Amino acid sequence: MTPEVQAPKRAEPPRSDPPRVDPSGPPASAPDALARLRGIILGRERDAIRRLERKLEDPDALSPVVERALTASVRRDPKPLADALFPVMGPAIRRAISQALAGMMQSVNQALEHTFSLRGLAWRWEAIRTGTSFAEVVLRHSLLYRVEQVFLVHRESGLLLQHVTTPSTAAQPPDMVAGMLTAIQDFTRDSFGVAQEEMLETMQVGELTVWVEQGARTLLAAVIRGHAPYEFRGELQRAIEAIEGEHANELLRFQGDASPFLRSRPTLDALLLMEAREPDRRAPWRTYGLLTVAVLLLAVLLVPRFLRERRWHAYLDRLRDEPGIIVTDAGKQNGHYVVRGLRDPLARDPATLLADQRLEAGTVTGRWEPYVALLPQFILSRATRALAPPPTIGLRLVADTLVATGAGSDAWFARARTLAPALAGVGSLSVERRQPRELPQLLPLVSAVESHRILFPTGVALLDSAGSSEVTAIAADVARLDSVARGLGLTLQLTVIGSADDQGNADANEWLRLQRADALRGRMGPSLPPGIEIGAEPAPADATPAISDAERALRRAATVRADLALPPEPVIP
Amino acid sequence: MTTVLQKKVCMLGAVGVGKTSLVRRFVESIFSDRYLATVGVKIDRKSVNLGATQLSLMLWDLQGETEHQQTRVEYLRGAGGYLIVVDATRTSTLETALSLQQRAASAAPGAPLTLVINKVDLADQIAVSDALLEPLRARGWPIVRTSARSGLGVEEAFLGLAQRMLATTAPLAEER
Repeated sequence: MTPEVQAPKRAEPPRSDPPRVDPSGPPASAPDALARLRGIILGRERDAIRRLERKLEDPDALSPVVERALTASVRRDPKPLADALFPVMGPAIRRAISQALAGMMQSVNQALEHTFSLRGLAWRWEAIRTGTSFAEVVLRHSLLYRVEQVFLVHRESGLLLQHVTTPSTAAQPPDMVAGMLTAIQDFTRDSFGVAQEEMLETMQVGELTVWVEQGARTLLAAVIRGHAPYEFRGELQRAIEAIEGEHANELLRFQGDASPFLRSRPTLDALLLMEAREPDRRAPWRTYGLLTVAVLLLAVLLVPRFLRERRWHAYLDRLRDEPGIIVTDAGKQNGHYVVRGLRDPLARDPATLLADQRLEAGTVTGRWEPYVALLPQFILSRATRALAPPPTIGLRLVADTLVATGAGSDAWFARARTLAPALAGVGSLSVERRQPRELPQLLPLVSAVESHRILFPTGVALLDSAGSSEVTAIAADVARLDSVARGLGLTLQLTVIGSADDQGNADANEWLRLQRADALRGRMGPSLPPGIEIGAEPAPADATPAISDAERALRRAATVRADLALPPEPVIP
Repeated sequence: MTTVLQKKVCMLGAVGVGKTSLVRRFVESIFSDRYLATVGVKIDRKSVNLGATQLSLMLWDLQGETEHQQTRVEYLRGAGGYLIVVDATRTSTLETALSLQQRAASAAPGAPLTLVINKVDLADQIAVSDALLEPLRARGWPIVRTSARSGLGVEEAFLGLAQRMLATTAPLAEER
């Protein structure tokens, strides 16, 4: 009720309706009348003022006007507004840019680290060294950071508004720590003369880092174990903005009551929840890939080499085992294998052994000096070459004595006696001479042929049916003997011998013997292999008389004798 | 229901007047006294119950002022109240106190203060007389005599300040 708004002092205010309704009522008192008068005169203006006041208190109603005013001002000349905002925006923009750059650098670093992934290999080595599983090592290292505590602090007083911590963290009384945090902020700011809006953003002690972000009225300090990514600063900044937005009124009137800030706990807890970073699961796979490629490359480069080397050594071993070959030197010259040594001309050709070891013919060069090997098989080989024994003679070596066994011509044995002692490795010659029929491979066949006996009745020189079938058996045995004898270069000669008993006339008996021999020869002739000579002769008369009839019956017979003849001696030019 | 309020309280005074000893008499502490020399401040806490309010006093023990080094009054920002400590045996500390008060009043305007005359146990050496204090009393400064050694007046000094801080807070608290 100020004098300025009092109504001008005119006589009486014009009467309004009520007095007219009740003219007999008592007159209104002076102040009441004044108020009424004011209502009448200024009522409309008062309402307008009240509306304006309400509008001013309501930011929503004002915002269109302010927006229009700002737009108009910027359109006219943006400089004054930019100048006004610069002190606020400048540092904020600078900080945002530097944070973005730092974050980018960190991610570039990480990318590089993972591309080459030496760390992955190092971890693998660590796992092998410590005997723990690789997964454990990766987990231990890739838990890059853990936010252990977050302090929300009133900037001006340093009083703690809210504090969250991970369950396992042993924390000092947070209100005192918060106070000291702000004290240290003040201390550094004052000590190094930086501007009021600058602040100590990072404190680092060993594995622990304290990151501080500040808003208009609060600051947020996060105690981090390990290395947090720069994006986490952004998270802190967003948390501050959210909290200051929600608690704008409480912060403005803060008098030490921290209870309203309990509502900010979820925001702060969310910062704690970002504690563990997922271990990078791609790293091991990349390492596996690299390892595989490396192993494959090595394999491609080394395996053929290794195989060739192995074959080369196997070849050398094989050469060393080979009789008549002595390896004196082996090695590589200009990527080419060379082997040197001695070789008996009778030994196997080293080149033929290459194929056994799957070595290509061109890869190995052999340089061989000839020599004479005194191994038994080589002595025998040389003797066989020099003496050229016929198939009926076998050579063998007993110590240094060359033993010649079998049937041969006198000329051959004479030559052998002369040549043998001159052969390398032969001390003397020993001869075991046999008749051809005595040769072990012939003796049973000869016996088989000669064991047949065709029997005749008394005074008869004709073959009966039993005799005829015996002839077939004889022919078969002869064919067998002839085949073997021909293989040995011998000629088979058959002689049929006729016999008679001692009864009766001697002349008649003589005639019977001859007749019986002829009879058998006549029957055998057609069934024999071609080219076999067959003769017939009577057996000489028996000197002793037969004792029994059975013996006499056996004497009434014809038998076959087989003779084997050596081939004629070749004429030596 | 108890309300919990936090208040920042600063300890000011010339060097050697016994601020740290007074605080040590009164508080629970986690930081070592070395912080005073290095950072220039050490923070301790004392919880007191005043009626239905539990008051958590964060005591900022500021490094004592010498002629070479001024106390950083920036630490007073946001203080709910402060104690200025004077050594009863040295009148020079009273002068320091007055100069500190002027700077403190601009750093923490409107914050209540208590003037603490410490070391009153040294009765035969007392130099700060009632006469010297009279003008200050006249200005309405609450003055408490203490002995950090015997504990005399220590509780009274802190509690008195706490009550006055609570009194200035109350209207605002109700408003909310």
